[in-house]
Amino acid sequence: MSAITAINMPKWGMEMSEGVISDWHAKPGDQVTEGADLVDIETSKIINTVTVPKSGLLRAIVAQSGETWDVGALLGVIAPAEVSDADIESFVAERTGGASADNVSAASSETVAEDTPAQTPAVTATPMNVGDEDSPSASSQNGSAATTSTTNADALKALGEGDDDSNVQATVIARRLAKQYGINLNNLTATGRHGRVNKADLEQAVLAAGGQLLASASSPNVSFQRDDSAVKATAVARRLAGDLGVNLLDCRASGDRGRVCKADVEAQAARQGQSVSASSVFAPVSDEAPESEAVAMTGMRKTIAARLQASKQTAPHFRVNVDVEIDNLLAARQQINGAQREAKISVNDFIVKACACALQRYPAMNIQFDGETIRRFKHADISIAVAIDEGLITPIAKAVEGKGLITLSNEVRDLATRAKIGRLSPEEFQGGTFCVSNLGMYGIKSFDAIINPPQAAILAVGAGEQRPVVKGGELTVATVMSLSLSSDHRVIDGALAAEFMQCLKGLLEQPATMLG
Amino acid sequence: MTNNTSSGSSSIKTYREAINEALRQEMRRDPTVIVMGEEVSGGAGCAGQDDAYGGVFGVTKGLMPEFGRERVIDTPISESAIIGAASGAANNGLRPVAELMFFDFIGVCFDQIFNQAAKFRYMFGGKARTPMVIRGTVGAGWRAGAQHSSMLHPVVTHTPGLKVVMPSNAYDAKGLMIQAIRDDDPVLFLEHKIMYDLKCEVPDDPYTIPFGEAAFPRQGNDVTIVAMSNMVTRAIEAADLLAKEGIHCDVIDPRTVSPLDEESILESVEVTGRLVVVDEAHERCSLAADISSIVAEKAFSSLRAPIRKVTAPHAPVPFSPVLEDAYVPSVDRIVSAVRDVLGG
Amino acid sequence: MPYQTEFLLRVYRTMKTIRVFEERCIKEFEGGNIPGFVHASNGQEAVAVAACIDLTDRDIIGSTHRGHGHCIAKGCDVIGMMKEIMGKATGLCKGKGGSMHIADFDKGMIGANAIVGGGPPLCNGAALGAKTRGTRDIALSFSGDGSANQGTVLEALNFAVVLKLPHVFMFENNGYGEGTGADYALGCSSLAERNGAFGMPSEYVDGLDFFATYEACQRAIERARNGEGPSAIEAETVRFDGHFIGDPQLYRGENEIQNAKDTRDCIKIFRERVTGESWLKDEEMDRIDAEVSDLIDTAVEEGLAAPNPDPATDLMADVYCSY
Repeated sequence: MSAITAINMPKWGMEMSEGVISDWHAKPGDQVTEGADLVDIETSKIINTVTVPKSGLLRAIVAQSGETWDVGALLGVIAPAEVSDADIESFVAERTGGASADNVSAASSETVAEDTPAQTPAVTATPMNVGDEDSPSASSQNGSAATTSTTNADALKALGEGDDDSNVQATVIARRLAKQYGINLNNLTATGRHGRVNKADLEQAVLAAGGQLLASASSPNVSFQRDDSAVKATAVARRLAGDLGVNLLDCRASGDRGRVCKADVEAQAARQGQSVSASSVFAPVSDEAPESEAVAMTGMRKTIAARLQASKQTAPHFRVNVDVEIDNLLAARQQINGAQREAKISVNDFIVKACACALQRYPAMNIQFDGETIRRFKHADISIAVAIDEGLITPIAKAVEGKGLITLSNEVRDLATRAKIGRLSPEEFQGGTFCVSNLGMYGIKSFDAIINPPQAAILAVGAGEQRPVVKGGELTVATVMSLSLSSDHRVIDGALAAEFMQCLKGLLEQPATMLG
Repeated sequence: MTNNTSSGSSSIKTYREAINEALRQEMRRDPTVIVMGEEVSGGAGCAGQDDAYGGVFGVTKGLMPEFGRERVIDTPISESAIIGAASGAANNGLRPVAELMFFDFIGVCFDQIFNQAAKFRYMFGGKARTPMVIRGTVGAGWRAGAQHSSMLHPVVTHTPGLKVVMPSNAYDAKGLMIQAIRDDDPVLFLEHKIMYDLKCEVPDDPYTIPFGEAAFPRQGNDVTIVAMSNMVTRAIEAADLLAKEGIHCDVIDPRTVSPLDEESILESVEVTGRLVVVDEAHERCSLAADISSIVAEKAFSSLRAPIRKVTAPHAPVPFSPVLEDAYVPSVDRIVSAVRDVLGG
Repeated sequence: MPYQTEFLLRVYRTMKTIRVFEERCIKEFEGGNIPGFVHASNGQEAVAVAACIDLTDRDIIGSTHRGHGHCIAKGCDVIGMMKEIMGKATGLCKGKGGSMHIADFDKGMIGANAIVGGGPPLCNGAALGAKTRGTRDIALSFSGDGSANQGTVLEALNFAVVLKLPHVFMFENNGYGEGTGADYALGCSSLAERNGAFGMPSEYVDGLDFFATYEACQRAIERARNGEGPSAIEAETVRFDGHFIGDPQLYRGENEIQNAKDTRDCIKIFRERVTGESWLKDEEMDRIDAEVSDLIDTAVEEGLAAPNPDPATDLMADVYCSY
């Protein structure tokens, strides 16, 4: 048994408690080499790759693509060929409490298919679901999936069989996707240019065999049942939701102790275009499909929801606002960007830099608070809110007080780029002592932001716009930007926040003072 | 992708040698294949050596000694007459490969190409065949000035009836040249003068590469980069740099821009959702603009970011090296366009 | 003496300037100071000078890819030319053109041309301008034996006759169109005869004999100024260098170039004639040699020191007058 190596869900960063299996790079029976990429895992913040801990055969995959597993959970098993299938199964059973042993895809998959036909879908579905947390198999962990009939499974399996297909004429993309789907190109009808098998041919065959398509750019939202059993709801609301086909995850929670109540379900049903008149509350759901689609809560979405809700509920927010004239700043920016070709400093870079200077002068603002202990930090590590397709992430520019504007600007651009493609490492977005959120690029005049715990304050930045201002009794025009600081009153008082903002205003209006 | 019949041997060859080999093998196979142009052999009517040039870039070197002056014809400097004669010969049983030393000289003989050769088949109700290849060097980077450096593939791609081939490496150059010679339509075979000494493994036996099938020199799911001719080399370099940061690009080399493998481009964009098109021609009415419009029209819902074009500016090619280097799309510009579409 | 001393000194100085300029271009090209490719005209100086020496700045010439000599003969600034050939911002065309695209409109030089046969139709236009405006200005186009076979040139010849344009067609026959012999590429037995067949006065001259060429040009220019229409001259000359600098010239005969330099050098021939006739003294010409050498040294020094264009401002400048 010692020859068996377990692959477990890793813990990347302090906040990670679970991960979604995104993509296996090997299938059961494959020889895998130490250090090679093995399985991609999506956490609430990043996609990262687990590498092969020890060379051998990948004997079993326990955690299928799309499933969510706790940190430490067994994902798969590597062992040399001498280890018997039975040993593998019992190894898996020991570590999954027996229940999950059914999910084992042993090295000799046809054995499994013959011995346990009921489980065939779990095995053959594997290649169908590579790659995305939105894929339909995400539901299989909830017991509601596994609906693929044996016939479909056979059809899908048949698509994968056949002779070497390397001589089949196919588009490059079709060939790549075929590999992902586990499909043999010999089984497809070619309709592409010059008789090539193209992407459409492949997808049509998958659908015809009862399979489902991989999520891709063109079909980002495959709708499927999402498990709402963990949502707090009243009993009536839950029953009503079931009857009306409303998912509790879509409902507001306006009830007592944050529960979804009947009114919330009815409101959601109304949004979905369903009648909720008193007489029809318990009537069968209309045959007409509502004009909406269920959108999956990704891992990231869930985290954002939980953290910001907690922040808004536990931290007493208060706000101070100030208007800043930024004409000097814009001139300085133009000067720097004009003088150095590689410089592309943004207004936001100036703001981040100014915040760092102000935080150095007001160390009581440069803190984290976990509800019990206030931690003051030496360096100003400033989180910057970046909108990405899946939600929001806050990569951190570290020790900003010691960085020049060009260095800072390049660093922020790099962080933002990698944030957008999911390639930040945990230490790059966890922590931070202050946060800047800028919606100025959308022309937003001003807004309030929710504090990003364990931080205690966040600066919301609006657009710089020309506004009339009065100076010495004269009406004149200046470029003005509105700033709003949200602070946690448990640890930051009004006067402190006001002095901080005064200081920040001074720095931004006379940018040269940042040098001092 | 190829219809190799063969011993399977191969060797490292330059782009120049690959084209030369293609011409030589086709001339051996088919006696109707002839080569004509200015100094395709060189030394005609001179006291010194024959075959002194083999084309100013040496691409046709050695063909005249093997096949004689009847099949490797040095012509006067008369581009209209060269192309006209090639078209007429093609209509009458030969398969001429005519050379326009610099493709800029198409300006001198454009009528013979676009009013004559391109239109015969359609205009004459499908009765005419014009199996001719026009070879020409394109592109900047040689400090050759405005009249010897243009990237004119958009002009001919725009013209129905012409096929336009732009190989980006020696392997493709050989397979596409053989296909071009065997093709029954007029084919413009555009060789980038910067690439003549680029080497790669090339099979020794003849093989063809079908027109309208793109190659993917790099594969990735993050961003699609379409590039042609010499820009493929730069796109690959950019993709390799980005790969080190974890950004994986699908680099598509259409190889022929008419016909164009729209299917492969659209499929790739469906996967990546992001497109950068690199074209050494000027932006307006370029292949970059053309491909962008195809994707915007047929794969709009797949796009997650605006398309970015990386092209030469709307100006003739300048002579001064500092200006020319700024003119030609660089690896840096491709990298930053990729970052842009990723939202950097 | 049929020629003034000042005229003869000017002729000698101009031919010598072209010779030294071209030899220096070869040296600087080989030294890596000149980018791209350059077509040198050393050996052909007598034709350029004979055709241009009596033209005014309002008379127009159109040149070829082998155009340095024509530029110098027409009075272009050799320092500005060297800067241009080196791709510098202060070159005659701001570094945008290079060797094959030198133009100086103030001097009536409307451009070297990298397209064989590009010039003669343009010079018809210049001649049409003069004729329409009623000036006595003329246009003179240079073509080679190679471009004589371009459709554009043949069309231009007929067009000039039909419109009776003040245009002198000067064909420099150096025996080679790039790397192909004129004997092969010119299907006719005499280019001069073929030109005459278009219906204009046409003659053949020995282009190595400055005086013969000059006199033929005077006759043609005079006809043009007097509104009597176009003329054509075929001047046989010799190309000392390759089609381009670096051309291995395998197509040339054994010792052909050395023999030409020994026995067919138009500057030597000129010098022997003027000293033989006692029109000029060796000392006068030696002094000019030294001055020319200094001038070209200065041109190269200034060329090397001149600033490069700035892509930020110069790349997109001058695409249009307005846009």
